[in-house]
Amino acid sequence: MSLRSDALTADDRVLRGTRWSLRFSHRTAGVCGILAGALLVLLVAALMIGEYLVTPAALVETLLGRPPERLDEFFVLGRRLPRSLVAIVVGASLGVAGAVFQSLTRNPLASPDVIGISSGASVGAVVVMLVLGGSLPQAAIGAVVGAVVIAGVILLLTARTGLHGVQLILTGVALSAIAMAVVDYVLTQVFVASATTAQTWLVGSLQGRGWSDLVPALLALLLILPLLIAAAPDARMMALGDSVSTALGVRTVRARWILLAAATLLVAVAVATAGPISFVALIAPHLARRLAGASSFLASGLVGALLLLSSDLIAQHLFPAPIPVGVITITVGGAFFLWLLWREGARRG
Amino acid sequence: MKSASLPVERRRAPGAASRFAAWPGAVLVCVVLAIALAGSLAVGARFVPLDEVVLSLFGTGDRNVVNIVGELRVTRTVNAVICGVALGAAGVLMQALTRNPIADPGMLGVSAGASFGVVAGLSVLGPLGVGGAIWLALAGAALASAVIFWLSGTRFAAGSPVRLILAGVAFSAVLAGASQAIVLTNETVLDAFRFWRVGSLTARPVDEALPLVAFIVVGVILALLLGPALNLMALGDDSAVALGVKPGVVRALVLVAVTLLCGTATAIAGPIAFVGLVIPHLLRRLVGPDLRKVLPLSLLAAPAMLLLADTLGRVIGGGGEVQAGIVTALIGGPLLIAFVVGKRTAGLS
Repeated sequence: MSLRSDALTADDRVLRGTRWSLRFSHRTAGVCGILAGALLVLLVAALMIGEYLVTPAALVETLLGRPPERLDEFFVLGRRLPRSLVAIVVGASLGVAGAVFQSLTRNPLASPDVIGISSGASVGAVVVMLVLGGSLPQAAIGAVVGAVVIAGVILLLTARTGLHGVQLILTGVALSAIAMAVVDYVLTQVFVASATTAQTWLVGSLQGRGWSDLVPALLALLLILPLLIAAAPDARMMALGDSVSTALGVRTVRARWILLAAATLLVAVAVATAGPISFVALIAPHLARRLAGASSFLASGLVGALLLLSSDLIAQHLFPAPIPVGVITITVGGAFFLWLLWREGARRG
Repeated sequence: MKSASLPVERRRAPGAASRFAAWPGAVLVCVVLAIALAGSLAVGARFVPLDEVVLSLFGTGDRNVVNIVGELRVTRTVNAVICGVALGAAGVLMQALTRNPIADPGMLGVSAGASFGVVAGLSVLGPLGVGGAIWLALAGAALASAVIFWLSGTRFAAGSPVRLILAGVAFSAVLAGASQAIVLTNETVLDAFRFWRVGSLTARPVDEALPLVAFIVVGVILALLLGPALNLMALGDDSAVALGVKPGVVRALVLVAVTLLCGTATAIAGPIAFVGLVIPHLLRRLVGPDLRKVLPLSLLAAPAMLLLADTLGRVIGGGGEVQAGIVTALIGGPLLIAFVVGKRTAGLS
């Protein structure tokens, strides 16, 4: 169940400043470049397609501030651009957080949605929105509290009992079940109209997300991502085991706290923005590792963004009626999870 | 199956018969069930003393009390007993056949399969009454339990109970996602399905639920007949064959029984998890592993648990109510964590 250790590879390059250094491999950098390019292409497509088609020329004009028609401006700048950017930011947050959790627990199945962090965030957000009557930004605070509580419980159980491997995952599943029971309870107790809204939210949806949703999520990602990239070398060392990494000069306890706190925050903000979209945080790190040949937080974030943006396009356009994007990710992601389990099982034989 | 009465079987668990006498456990379970039944009829938003309950059951006494007890509480009590019997027996069978102490038909995806069967059927065939939907539910449940039993027999999950549960959880997620995709894109299905799966013990009037009891009776009889053979199969397939059991036949019959029990329970009350997980566990502590004792007792203990959960939900809900499925999740979730973390299953990973 351990991640492949990639502390030392041959084609590494190092950027050095006066007080810092950043190690990267050519392959990871190249893969990240390609992923970013693909993301850009997908974004352009997302801006053009839909019931109202925007031509490439009109798109360029609109982005330059000279929209040929009011409708172009409305659809591109008012609707599609903010929604696509929210998809990118939320997907990236989930992808990065998933990579952090998987590397911290040295468990390829331990993504925040599987071990119950997302469900904890849902409880917090739902309680704030429906019981306390809070707004969406306030719901984000509730989501953070809920996510931190679940993370704390998992940490406690892990520290007390040395929980590991699939046992950790199953504990998370049980925690999720408890959290979702609380959510169900809240939903049955409130006015039906808001319960329906909350139900849609609980599947994970990007419907109607605009600029105001983008700002907090983007801010959180921009603040936390550099922190995580700075901590990435420590995380790579820690994949070798606590004693080895301590001997190599990593302050293991401090690094673990930073990584855990940062990833939990990312998940909480993502959940508060778009609902508990499942399985993106699970899949993205795996695909990123396949592509980059080594675990990379940045590559995982880019894959997460690509996954969520493309899932949202499918959810919007490929069905008779638009469906919440969470439906796509749960179906595809669940199948992927099964395949991962299957492969793990075959390997252990 | 005839070999069950042979003395050979004693050798499996030496002293089992003497160490665990069945009757104290049976008495205890009966007392709990009686209390649960009385509580379910008497306790609620309005407390009705037991003598008035008895009077109102015969149609005499205060008009209002007759209404509350005779109409509402009898309905949910009957539904809880029916579903409890089904879920308890299904849980015991599932755990016995998969040789997995933490298996639960709800968690393994049988209920999700039943829901998926209904949704998929409705979208292809158009609207059907409850009588038609039950066949779709049974077909879906059969499909799902076939997949789970197949998985439990492969190398992938053999010897790893936790992994089988995870596979079930992922499988449930896929089925739930697929169901949602159909429901959200097809308005006629949404309408019919919303009516069909309300997920509560009050959803069906007694005269609608009672015809479905026939399925459960067949399932229970099948389960009781299979107990001795499953006892022998706990020794492993080879030993079971040597003792005259046909594992293939037993597996197929268990599959039929679980499908009938679970599919029908889901059709009556929607998915209720954790009853099938908790009850067999408690009973094994009480009377030992012999299925000839555990199975009949589960028919009494599981309804007691569901009744208590439902009553508790009415008490903590104040004027409203907390649905029984939510209460069972709140009780069962922590117990599942305890099982996973606990010493008995610590080596299972």
